Amino acid sequence: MKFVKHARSAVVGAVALLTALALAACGGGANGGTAAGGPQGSGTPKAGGTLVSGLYLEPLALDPHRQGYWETYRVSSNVFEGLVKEDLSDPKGPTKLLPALATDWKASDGGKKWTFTLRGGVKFHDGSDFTAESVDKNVRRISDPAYEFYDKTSAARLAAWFGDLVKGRVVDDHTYEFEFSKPFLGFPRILAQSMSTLTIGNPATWEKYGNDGFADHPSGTGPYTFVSRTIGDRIVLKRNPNYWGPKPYLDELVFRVIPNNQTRLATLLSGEADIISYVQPEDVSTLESRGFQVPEGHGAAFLYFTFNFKNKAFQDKRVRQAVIQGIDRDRLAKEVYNGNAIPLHSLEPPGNEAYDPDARDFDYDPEAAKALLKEAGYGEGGLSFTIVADVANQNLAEWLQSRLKGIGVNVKVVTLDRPSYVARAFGKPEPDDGLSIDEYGGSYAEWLYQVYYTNIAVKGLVPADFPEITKALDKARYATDQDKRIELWKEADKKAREGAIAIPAVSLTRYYALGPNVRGFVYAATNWYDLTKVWLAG
Amino acid sequence: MGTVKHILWRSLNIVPVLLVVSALTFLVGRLTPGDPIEAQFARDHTPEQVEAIRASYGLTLPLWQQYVKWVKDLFTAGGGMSIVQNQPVFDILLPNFANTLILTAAGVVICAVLGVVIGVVAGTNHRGFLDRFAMLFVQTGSNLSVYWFGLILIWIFSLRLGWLPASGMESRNGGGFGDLLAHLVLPGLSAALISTLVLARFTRLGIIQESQSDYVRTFASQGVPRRRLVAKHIGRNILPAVVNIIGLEIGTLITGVIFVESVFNWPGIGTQLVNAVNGKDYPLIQGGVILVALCYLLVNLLTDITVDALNPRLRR
Repeated sequence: MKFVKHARSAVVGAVALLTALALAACGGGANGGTAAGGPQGSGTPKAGGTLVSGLYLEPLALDPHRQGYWETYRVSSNVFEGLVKEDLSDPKGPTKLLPALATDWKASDGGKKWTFTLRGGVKFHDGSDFTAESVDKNVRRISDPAYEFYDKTSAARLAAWFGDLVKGRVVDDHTYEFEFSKPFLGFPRILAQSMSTLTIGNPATWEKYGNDGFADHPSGTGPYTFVSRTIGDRIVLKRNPNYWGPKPYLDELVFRVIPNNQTRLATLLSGEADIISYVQPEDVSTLESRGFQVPEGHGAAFLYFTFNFKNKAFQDKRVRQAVIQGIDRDRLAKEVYNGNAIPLHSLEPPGNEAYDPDARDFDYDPEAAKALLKEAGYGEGGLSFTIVADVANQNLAEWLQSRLKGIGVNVKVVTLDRPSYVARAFGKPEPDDGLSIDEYGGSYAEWLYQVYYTNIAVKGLVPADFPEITKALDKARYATDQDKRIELWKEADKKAREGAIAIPAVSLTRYYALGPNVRGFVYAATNWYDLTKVWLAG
Repeated sequence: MGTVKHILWRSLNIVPVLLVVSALTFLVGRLTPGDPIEAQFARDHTPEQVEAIRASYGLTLPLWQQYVKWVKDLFTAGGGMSIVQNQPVFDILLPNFANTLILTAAGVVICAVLGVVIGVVAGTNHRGFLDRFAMLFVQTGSNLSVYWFGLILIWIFSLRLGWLPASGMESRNGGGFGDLLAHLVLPGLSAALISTLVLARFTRLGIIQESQSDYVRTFASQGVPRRRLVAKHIGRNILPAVVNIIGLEIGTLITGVIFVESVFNWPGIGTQLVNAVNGKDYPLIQGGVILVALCYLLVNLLTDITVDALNPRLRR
């Protein structure tokens, strides 16, 4: 008897739920729950509080020499510092280089030797002193097989920039010298980067826990110290009371990993997070209408398309140029990204030291594109290829497909999960593959060298077939005159543009979203941010 | 004595099944395109540099050597080192596995209660209004995607009504048991959705079929009240089948929870496994699958034992 009675009340509950669903599905308009944005004036900064940041992917190991992905660095840059840092209060860029663990640096021997004066009175999180000896152990960990804590995987990760390192040398307690076999004028800028570079970790930690154990006990000199990490959930940091620099406002930083785009948005909207990364362009207006901040700016990253040079069609420059001319990048920025993107025409993106807003490769011109294709032997409908993309870029790939039809090119779209995408685009492309879509970039001019020898060359471009570009890149990479360095990179970029070796597409202008009460945040013109100046109002 | 022997025999069966699962997971990872090193490093390292990193993780050894090493690691080295996170796999998985079990348990409770209730109400009102209404609900619900259902729940109850949290398992400032329950409601409902409806359908069918059997007709003709009939006789007869379905559905729930976790950002192994798959982190994926498979097998074993105990016809 009771049984059935209970059953009845549960059914009533279920019906109520259903009704709620139906009602909610019909209801429109949105003025629910969330607080309206307060006055956006800066006000007087207030210390204290916890900031919750929603990351779009799981950060990698918190190890200064093994880290990858910007999301990792957005966390770890609060724990570890480099010798040099970028000015993260600059939303325009290129960011200036500022002293961090080094107060001063100078090149000698035509850029082969770099001498750094190290900051005094800096302590690691365990209280030990930061000295030239600490820098030396960091250098040996990534370069000296004779060192007990030499880390093979770190060495391989840093080989891109430290391959030419002959040796590092302790000059005195607070002076350290690097010697390269070739000139390396971009070195300080590289030292201020996040990945594949020499961020300074506490050597006592790897001496105690081993190289693999470091990430469990990350320790550096930064404004925040490590508290805990649960992979798949969160990382917690707390303010370092002994920090050498200006004291940060917030007591605690919590980084929650929320890969699902809708859930991350909901978490911000419901007030469970204060800042999220990688806002989807279609969500910008929802956020702003509810009083959330979506600062405008740009990082030093962009989307670009690379050719499969193993596909014979794309060995012909006319075909590559035609495809570039067949894509209207202004329209792409508007249609795929709701206008929240800057159309690009150069492989050095905004925020990069060698970015030139006036640089142009080939303007949109469908007629010229058709003519070029015809000249190359592909009449209307004669050229077919596949665009391979990560599932995250499906919209973009389909947009390209529809636009390229306009110049008589038949495109098939294949979207894959991340590892399969990388395996196909970077490893073994199918013969019909034509374009793949990537997103990357950096504030350092050397980025051009990196993208050429990794992203582009790995897809079949043979550097020897492009002697002009290759020579210009070498000239810039091994420049010996600091005043000419950026000019040389711009020159190399011009050669790359003329060669039509890749298609720069767009750089996003909305990336972070903040709760209504977050103050002091700057969308810096590089790929991470400074949380030490952020505070919570009200 | 016979029962103990029977249970022991069934438990032993788990070992070969796990071995097959381990070999399959290992092979599926290696034989599909992509590898963790390439996924992470190909875009900013030359192929030679990528190969050097790969070698530093022992991924250039012959496959059988890698497999043997991994099986050994399962017992001695915490499931081996995660390639992406540089931490022992079980150190990563186990703390969150408890969270997955909490969510699964909530799903099982919701599924068992709601499923039986809906089934009984529909079955006892066969062809009546409540039956039709319940079946409409079941039909519609079975065709919903769990992913979509979860997002709708978040939208209504977190964003519009502001009653329940949107994600995670604890509030910003922490909270006690009540806080945990509040976080459990929406993911629990999403996780239980499909299983609840399956169970409701079986329960309803069981009741309808039993109601038509001879003994029920005899009891009814002798004036046994309908409610007593359902509660005492029909219920008793369909119970083993219901428990069996619940047991099977727990398996479905454990795997389904993985999607639900990603929608609600529940910090369980589902979220971790989705990340691991995105980075193709072999040891982490393999360790996770083994853990889930082991649970599945244990639940099945327990279900079998319970069903045997509940069914007098199987007693000796």
